[in-house]
Amino acid sequence: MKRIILIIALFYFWPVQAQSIGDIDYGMYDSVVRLDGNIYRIRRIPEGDFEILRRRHEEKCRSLIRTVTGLGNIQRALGSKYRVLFAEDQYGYERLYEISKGDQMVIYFPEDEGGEWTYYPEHKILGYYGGHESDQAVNLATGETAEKPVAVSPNRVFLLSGMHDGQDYMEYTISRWNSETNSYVRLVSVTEIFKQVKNSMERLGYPGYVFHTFWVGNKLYFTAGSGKYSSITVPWP
Amino acid sequence: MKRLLFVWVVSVFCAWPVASGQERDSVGTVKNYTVGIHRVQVTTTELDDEQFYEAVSPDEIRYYALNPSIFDSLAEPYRIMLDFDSIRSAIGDRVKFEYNKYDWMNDEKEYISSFTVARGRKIVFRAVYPVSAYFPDLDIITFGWWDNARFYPTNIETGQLEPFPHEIIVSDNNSYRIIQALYPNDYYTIQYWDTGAERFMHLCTLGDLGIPEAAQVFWRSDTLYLYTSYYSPGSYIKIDFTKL
Repeated sequence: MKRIILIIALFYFWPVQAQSIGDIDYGMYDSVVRLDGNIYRIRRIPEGDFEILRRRHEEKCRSLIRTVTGLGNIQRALGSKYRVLFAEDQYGYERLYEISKGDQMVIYFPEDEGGEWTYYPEHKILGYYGGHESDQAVNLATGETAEKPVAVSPNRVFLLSGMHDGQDYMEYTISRWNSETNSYVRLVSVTEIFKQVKNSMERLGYPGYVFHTFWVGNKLYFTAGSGKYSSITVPWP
Repeated sequence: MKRLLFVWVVSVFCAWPVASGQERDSVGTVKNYTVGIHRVQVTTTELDDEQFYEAVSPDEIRYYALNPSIFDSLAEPYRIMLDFDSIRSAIGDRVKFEYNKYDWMNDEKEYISSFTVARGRKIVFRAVYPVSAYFPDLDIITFGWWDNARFYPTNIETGQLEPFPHEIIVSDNNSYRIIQALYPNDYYTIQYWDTGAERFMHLCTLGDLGIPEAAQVFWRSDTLYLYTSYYSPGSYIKIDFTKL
């Protein structure tokens, strides 16, 4: 008798258990977008389901991104190969003049930009504020313009990085880990995907207002306006 | 009444940093420097408006303000090239420029975003600057938005910034001179004429004396007068140089 009750209980709880460990599989997709040989599947999500997933995964995706703040701490994190030239201004704010990497490279920072210096050691990226509090970021290994990491998938295969333009637009880029180059390689921007979806404003929302982003497996979840909850399935490597 | 008191407390709190200004600890101090075989005592004193204008007539200030070219003739005793195409042909392939395109008011233009110098050092600008000048005798290239803006004076062989004499003001007795270089911000170095070596030698910087920024700079014999707005409120400063 006990065995029968156990089997019935297992049968009853099984679907809930499967759902709670991670993703919700809806089976069908609203849109399929092909860009640069990759296929992205887009799906609208009911608000309730989105919130359940968000509570479980959003913070985790952010907590995987290590940050170092304060220019003195950033100098320590960069080590002796780099030299961070900075000073406090008369109001106590940190002003960064330059970051140099021995005789190989020097990066000069404009006088009227700065504040909220954040270094992402795993990505070698320094983020800060530019004009109109726009996001600025530079890769300290190459000197090239970069984007601030926003959400990394728990298996670290996928990365979402984003930049606020200082006005009313947040631009996100999806990257995927490439084990050959040992780095994240850009795949596509969220805006590019929205552009390929018919009536995307009505169905997905406004790409500049994408928020609450998090990863579950290879699915990127986000909201893009009132009542608009969606996911993008990104191909595995 | 309580609300009024709250507003008053908040307003005093907000205004406090502006009203109190930056603490200054170096003015009024005496420092000794050795230059070559000489020892020089440097004394900084704060003056009020009246004392400052007793030493320096307002006419002179106006003269300098209206005639900035007087500094140019001192600051540029070298050949100067201003046309970018000529600069590029003079430099040759020792420097590789990289550009960023900016769509400002739909007038797309390219500006230098980074460049790599002869010894392979990469120089990255996080703001855009056009090339402003090249000095073939010094092998220095400068950047800036205006004719007289010479930022980041870079030696194109080494890629190192070199303090560039943006302004040189020599004392009327030729014993001292102050040089303003635009690196990393305003940077002022004071030099002393060493009669033994027969050349100007480094004495100190204004930063050493607790004065990071200066304007209205004048010499009267062995005394340097200047105004600094770095501290709030701005101050007139007198710096006496005495040979020991």
